[in-house]
Amino acid sequence: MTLVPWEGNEQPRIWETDAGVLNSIGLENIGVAVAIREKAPLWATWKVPVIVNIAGHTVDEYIEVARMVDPVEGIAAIEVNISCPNLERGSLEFGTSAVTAARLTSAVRTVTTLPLIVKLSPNVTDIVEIATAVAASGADALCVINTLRGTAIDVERRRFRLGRPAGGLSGPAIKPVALHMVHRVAHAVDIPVIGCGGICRWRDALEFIMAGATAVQVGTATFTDPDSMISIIDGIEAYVRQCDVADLGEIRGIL
Amino acid sequence: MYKSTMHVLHHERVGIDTFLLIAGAPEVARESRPGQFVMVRCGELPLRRPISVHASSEGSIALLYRAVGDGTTWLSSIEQGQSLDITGPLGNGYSLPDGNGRVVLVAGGMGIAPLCFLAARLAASHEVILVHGARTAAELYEVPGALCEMVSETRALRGLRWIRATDDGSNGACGSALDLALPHLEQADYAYLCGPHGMCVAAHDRVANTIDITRQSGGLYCSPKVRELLCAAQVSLEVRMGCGVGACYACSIPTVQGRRKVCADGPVFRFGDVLWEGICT
Ligand SMILES: Cc1cc2nc3c(=O)[nH]c(=O)nc-3n(C[C@H](O)[C@H](O)[C@H](O)COP(=O)(O)OP(=O)(O)OC[C@H]3O[C@@H](n4cnc5c(N)ncnc54)[C@H](O)[C@@H]3O)c2cc1C
Ligand SMILES: Cc1cc2nc3c(=O)[nH]c(=O)nc-3n(C[C@H](O)[C@H](O)[C@H](O)COP(=O)(O)O)c2cc1C
Ligand code: FES
Repeated sequence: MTLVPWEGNEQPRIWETDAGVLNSIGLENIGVAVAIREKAPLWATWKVPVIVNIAGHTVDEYIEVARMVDPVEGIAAIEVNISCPNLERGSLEFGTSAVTAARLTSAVRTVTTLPLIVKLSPNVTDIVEIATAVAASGADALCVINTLRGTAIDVERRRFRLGRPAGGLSGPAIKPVALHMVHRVAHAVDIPVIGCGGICRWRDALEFIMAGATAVQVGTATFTDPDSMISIIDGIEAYVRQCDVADLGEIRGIL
Repeated sequence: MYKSTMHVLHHERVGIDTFLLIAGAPEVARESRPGQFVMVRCGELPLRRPISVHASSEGSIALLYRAVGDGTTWLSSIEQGQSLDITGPLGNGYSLPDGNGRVVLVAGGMGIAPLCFLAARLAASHEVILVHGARTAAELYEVPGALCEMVSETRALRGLRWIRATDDGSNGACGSALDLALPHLEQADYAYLCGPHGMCVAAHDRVANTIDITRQSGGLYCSPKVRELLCAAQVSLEVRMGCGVGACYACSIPTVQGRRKVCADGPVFRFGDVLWEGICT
């Protein structure tokens, strides 16, 4: 969510690629004030914690959104999005340099006591450098990774498939990249890493855990099958039972 | 909304690249209303494909679709006896007209799929005129025998007044569904539209054009009565979808009330509420 409602990008906003999805949503959302007023009361009744993903064009916008959501009942944690590839200004601009990423993290840290997750981009030269800087600036956890920038072209119509030249690639196609980055980051920082990127089945989730992830996120796979997260949880449970794993900590980061 | 496994009872090619699929899906069939759609999982493809409910009754639903790309081509290879993973019914559906009166349905191409469901539902209570335009004769839809046999409500479709048009004049009148519908709209109480973006833009041009230029040029002008009817008409939209359930904002379009999601707030909108200039496909 953002400080004011965002309209998002021009259509088309989604395109399927081989084993993946390119999207250019552009963070359309109803804005933090309406979300707090109309959605948070409902979240407060849910049995699961709700984490809000926040973004902005400027550091001040991030600070203001974080300040507003901090006291709200029904919001369990903040995930700072410094990795959205679909904006001209903001978000990823902060996530491509260790200096700006650290500065933004410290600024948000000063206005909230909620658990603070920072979501990193794979579209960088050295994700470990950024991860270390963010971890040293007060983040409680990292989410690795957001989408990879990509393009698709319609050769018949000679135009881009999306409303803009580029979008963010997600889904099974990016899993090896995500896994590699989680592995590197998890071994470099001492805060928890949430693994994300192409997870579809329980085996994928366990790969991320063995690479060092404490938790995982599932995005695109829920489009393919809305029950995929349930199947992943069931699959992990069956695995730990079968392999006599008492605690996921036993296999976390073993590689 | 259900995620369910539907069992294919019948699948046939009904046009050059058009297929009719009838499948057993009791919950989805019970709840489907005209204008709603289902998301069909197509093999290992990451995104489900939105397909309108073409007919529904007796525990079965029918889908009428054109094989245009990977997903629908995969779907066309499914055989009777196999099953499909679908979620639905989704979306708002058409609101049905009050009382009785004359209803004109304007279908361009595959827009006939959802409008047949509506036509069948209205057949007993309203005077229904179904105008269907296609590029060429082979793409015009004749209600298949199997559909009437297996989904009884669709029998009423054969008794309705159909007006058929082709762009190339190979069957029916030569011209677009919209052009052919215009005289009938003069006498109609309600109008419903579903068709390609170009058809909607053409209708929009007519709604927007208030100057009588018929004598000078190709006739974008239509009477105030038709303009008003088109403005109030219900139109169902096609845009690319991700989740189909309102979660991802892939399908968001601009309307006079602000941005709306085609999957969850639509796919049916009041024609005059859609800001057509802001939608590119
Ligand atoms: C609410 C709704 C109802 C629909 N009902 C029908 C119907 O009853 N019969 C029918 O033949 N078609 C219908 N369509 C269009 C149908 O969804 C597309 O033709 C189909 O998704 C194409 O998939 P593909 O993999 O074969 O083509 P590809 O071109 O390979 O598709 C690639 C991607 O684009 C999307 N896409 C492509 N064309 C369209 C389109 N026109 N609209 C939306 N998404 C598209 C696909 O879902 C997929 O994600 C409907 C679309 C919507 C939004
Ligand atoms: C349609 C769509 C919308 C997304 N929106 C956001 C967003 O608002 N904020 C964010 O941090 N990441 C967003 N993402 C990125 C995902 O959260 C995730 O990092 C990425 O898709 C990779 O995971 P996956 O392969 O499981 O989808 C979005 C992804 C998709 C496909
Ligand atoms: S397709 Fe995801 S919100 Fe409509």
